[in-house]
Amino acid sequence: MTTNNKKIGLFAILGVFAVAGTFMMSNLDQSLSTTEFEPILQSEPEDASYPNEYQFKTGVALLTSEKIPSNDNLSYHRVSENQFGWLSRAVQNGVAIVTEKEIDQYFTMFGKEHNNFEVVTKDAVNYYRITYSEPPLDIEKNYVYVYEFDEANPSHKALNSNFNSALSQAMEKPFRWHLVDDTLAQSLKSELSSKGITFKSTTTNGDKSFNVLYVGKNSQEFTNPEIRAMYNVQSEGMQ
Amino acid sequence: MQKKKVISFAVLASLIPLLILGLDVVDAAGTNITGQVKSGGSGLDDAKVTAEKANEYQYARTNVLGNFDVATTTSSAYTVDSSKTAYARDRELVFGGGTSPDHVIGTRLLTDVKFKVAYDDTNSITLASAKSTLLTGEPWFREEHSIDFIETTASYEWDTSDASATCASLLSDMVDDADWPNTTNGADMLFGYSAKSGMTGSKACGFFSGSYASNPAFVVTSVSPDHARSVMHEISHAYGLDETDTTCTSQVPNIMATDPNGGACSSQYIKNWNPTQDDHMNSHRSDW
Repeated sequence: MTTNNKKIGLFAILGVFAVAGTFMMSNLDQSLSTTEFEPILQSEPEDASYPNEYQFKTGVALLTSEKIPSNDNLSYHRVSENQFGWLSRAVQNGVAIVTEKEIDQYFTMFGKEHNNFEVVTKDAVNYYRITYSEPPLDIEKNYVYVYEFDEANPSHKALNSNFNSALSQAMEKPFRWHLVDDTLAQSLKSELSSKGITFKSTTTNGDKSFNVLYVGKNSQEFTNPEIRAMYNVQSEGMQ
Repeated sequence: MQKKKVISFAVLASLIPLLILGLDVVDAAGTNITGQVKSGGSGLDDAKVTAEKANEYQYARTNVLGNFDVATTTSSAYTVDSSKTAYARDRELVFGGGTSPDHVIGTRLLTDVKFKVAYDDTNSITLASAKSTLLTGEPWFREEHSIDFIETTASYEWDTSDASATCASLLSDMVDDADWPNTTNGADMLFGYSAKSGMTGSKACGFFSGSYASNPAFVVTSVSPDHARSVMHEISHAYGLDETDTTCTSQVPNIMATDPNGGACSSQYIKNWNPTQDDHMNSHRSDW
């Protein structure tokens, strides 16, 4: 190898190191830059108060039930369906308007640990997730809520076609409370009482299965003096 | 921690449904806030009550046991943006609002927010369950700031078996699994709902800065005391709000209430933005 070739080879090696070094520094800069902009974890206060620890409400206090499959990953509160009034109402109607005492009972006995329930009846064992909420509703009016399942189930009862149009808004925007008039509310309440809360329907977006929930002045809890006192209800009950 | 004092809050509870329904609202000024304090105390445990309506935001405190009746005109008062007089449920009617939503999350200029929803299939959380949880917080955003929640179709089953039972672990697991924010599928934010057993620490958390500044991600767990409040708190972070850094005793009840020394200002942590926070939220709206 000639001296010139050796020099060229040396320069080539130095060049490789220079390029690699520049690349590494660039990556280091990027790494530092990434570290500098690492996202900060923002957490809700660990000891955030529970709804039974404050009395003011931002809406109507509800417990809603969602039927879930048995799952070995989950722990369950094993209860009988008739053990608590709020439990049986939430299971049967999908939703229960709850009193201060019931809110306190739910959180004191169950809700702080988890909200999974193994509900035992004479004939069966079913599993539910029961969740507290306070949607900003007026208890003296009428509201419906459509809880649309992930998949349609052909075995569900068909929703009476009389309700298709009336509930179209709720079905179009599920998982939200929708104001309805009293006539619809009363007929719907009757339908839910006789047929249960789970239905199927064919819509422009295909077949759907869903629960229909009702809350308002036709709810069975509306005549409860404790409930009426919580919301300063002056009018007569509508049972 | 001493047991929290508890307040009845008749005025706000009655105003919110009325505002939502677009009905006349009774003036807070000149009316009284009534309620009941379950136990007495002072300092941190003073009961606080708030009232909010167009042009007014007032709060008062009492440490008197039993029923109370506080005249709002004598309490500390704040001015609420006068645009609140134009508030209505539909965004088209909101002051300055338009029918064409703005989706520029990078500068928080939203009227609608698109969510990608992650549901903890490992623990029997369905997409429906996750959506219903997310939407518990929507009424307050609609009513106060005309922000609708829109779910994209890019939801996915989230396998949480690799995560430990802390919110931080779940959050990291979720963004890794979803390849967020590299893969947004057109969504603005990633929301995850988990029912992981044995949770310790916070029940809700999120990333809102760094590489998540334009596309935040947050998790709410099924053991959250109040799902709507958790959703509202976390999304408020996405709009740039931080936890309050003043002492509990000097805070107006609000959605970001916290004790700067750790812990919560329990009676102050409510589903409501205080006037300063309202202004902040409003300033992050392009059409406000």
